[in-house]
Amino acid sequence: MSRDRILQAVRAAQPEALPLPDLAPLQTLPKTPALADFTATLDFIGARWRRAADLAEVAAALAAERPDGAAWASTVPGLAGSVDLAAIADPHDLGDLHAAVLPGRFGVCENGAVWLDETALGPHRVLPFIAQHLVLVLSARELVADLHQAYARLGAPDTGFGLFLAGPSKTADIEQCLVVGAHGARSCTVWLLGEPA
Amino acid sequence: MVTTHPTAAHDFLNDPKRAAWHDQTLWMVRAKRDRMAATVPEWEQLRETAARIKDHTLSRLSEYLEQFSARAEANGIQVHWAADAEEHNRIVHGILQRHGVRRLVKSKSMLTEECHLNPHLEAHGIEVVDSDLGERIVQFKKEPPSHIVMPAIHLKRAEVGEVFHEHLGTPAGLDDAQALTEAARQHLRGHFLGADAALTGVNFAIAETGGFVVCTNEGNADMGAHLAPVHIACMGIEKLIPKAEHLGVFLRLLARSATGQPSTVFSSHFLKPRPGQEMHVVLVDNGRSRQLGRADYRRSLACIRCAACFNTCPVYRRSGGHSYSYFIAGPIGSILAPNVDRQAHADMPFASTLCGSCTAVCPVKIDIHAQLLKWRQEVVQAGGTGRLKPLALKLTGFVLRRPRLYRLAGRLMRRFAPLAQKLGLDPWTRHRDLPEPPARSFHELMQQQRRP
Ligand code: SF4
Repeated sequence: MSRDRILQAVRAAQPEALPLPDLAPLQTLPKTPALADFTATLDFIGARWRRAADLAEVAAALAAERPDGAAWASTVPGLAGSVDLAAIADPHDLGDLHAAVLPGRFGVCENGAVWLDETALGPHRVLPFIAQHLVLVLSARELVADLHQAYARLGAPDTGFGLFLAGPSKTADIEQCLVVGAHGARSCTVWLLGEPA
Repeated sequence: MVTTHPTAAHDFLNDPKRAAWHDQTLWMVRAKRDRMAATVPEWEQLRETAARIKDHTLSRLSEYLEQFSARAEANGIQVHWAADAEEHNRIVHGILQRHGVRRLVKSKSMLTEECHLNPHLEAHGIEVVDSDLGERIVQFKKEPPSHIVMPAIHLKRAEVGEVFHEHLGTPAGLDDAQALTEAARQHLRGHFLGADAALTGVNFAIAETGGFVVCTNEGNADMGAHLAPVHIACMGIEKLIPKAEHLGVFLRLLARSATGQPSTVFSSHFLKPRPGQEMHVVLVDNGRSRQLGRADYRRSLACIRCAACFNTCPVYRRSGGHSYSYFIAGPIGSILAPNVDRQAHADMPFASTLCGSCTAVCPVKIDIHAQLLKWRQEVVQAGGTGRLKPLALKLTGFVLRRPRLYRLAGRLMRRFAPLAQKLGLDPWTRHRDLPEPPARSFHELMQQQRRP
């Protein structure tokens, strides 16, 4: 069997065990997350950001700005979309979705990424990729400085899928010209609720 | 006779404007990487840590492979093992056949390129659509990628416009990047929605959790994987890392080194298939265990495919990816290729100035230029450079040991070097000019100085 053959070949080839480095020096660097750093990174990566006192303010803004008749889905508790995600059996039916509104668990100041796991995506993992526009809702208190802090916060994964999402999808594959809106969302707006910690 | 790098670079260099653009554009990416690295004060600490995590993992790879496959299976992922390219292709085809798949969308995977998966599947009547924009462009053109991160970097906008005009029906002469990308978006959306299965690469596989991470900017890997009923992820066995917390180290380095972004747009963590979906991981050896056993070249397996070494390489920038005989070009490709076939790729380790810039930027601190030098020694010892080169070096040694002869040779060179250039005797000077030889040698100048 190839499994045994490969493992045997690897066992024969691998050198004497070398130590695994300690991550503590990186994990304990004295860094504090700051809202200004996070928003500066969002600007840099082409994501929009706005602040709001509470969810009602976000809901009002979204309602005012949404094009007439555009289908939109929300997985944010307390903010209903026009599409009932639970009633959709086949994710292919999300092809015409104008926008998805999702609750981010926390943001990472150094790279502008927001963590979304399966509980935030609802029944369809493809939601943040297939929607034409993305709206992420995040408490301004929920920030970490860097990815070391992020993984420390995540601990052992508890859902079948999760992602760091940093801004709208983009490509520079044609002559290195940056184009926003490759296969995923054409825009990404991060709403920051309340006051930072 | 193997085509040598200078010969293969000939066409590329015949268009000096394009060559200059290529050079400058990649240098710009390198400069972005530098700016990004400079924003992280602990950058060197990160590189050192990443290198040591990889060294550790490679030293216990068999255990980590066992741990990974056991956890992945417990998570509901089907794990397959492929000793070589042929077995990999057979496994993938077998899965697709079982599901009656006729249309496969594929995101970037250098491994499937290495295994020549596309032609294999196409021979069995399966349509394969590469979904990364750059890969789709070169797929239309029936060309291999010329860069592992920017597959179509050798093409100009107008050429992409021609390709899309022919294949996607965009208006003739369209050369606006935004409009071309939009056309590709619409075209590929159709394929995402219509695919029966999706295949992705793997950036990191985590032994502790049995999960894997795929990074893209376009979102194409996820569009395929979350829509299709079958997801196959193909990975070389060297992609393992021990724990999830190690992702913090590697994800901080990857995008910054690759494109000068603080992060890729999507860093997707796959752990279990979604309900009703089938998820497969194919673990591929294909020469990696052999490379693991070669102490001199072992560290090449630490590569995270960021391509920083390409972007900084003065030879790559000025010769283009298609001048290398292996599908992974650039400095790292020049170490990996001779492991696969030393004879066929004997010339690749020589496509370098050994300036060491690759080693200086590599996020996992691979001693790339030192390994290139070692391959050169092996190739020369095996007679792979032909008879001319060793003879020329012997002659040089002979002259250098004899000061009088050396001075005479110097005088002759100053007279006749421009002529040798005109005759195009040295392939290196076919597209670049030697500087004017000085009228007098250093030795002669010194003697003049000493005279009162
Ligand atoms: S060898 Fe280093 S610099 Fe080159 S692609 Fe691999 S990780 Fe990046």
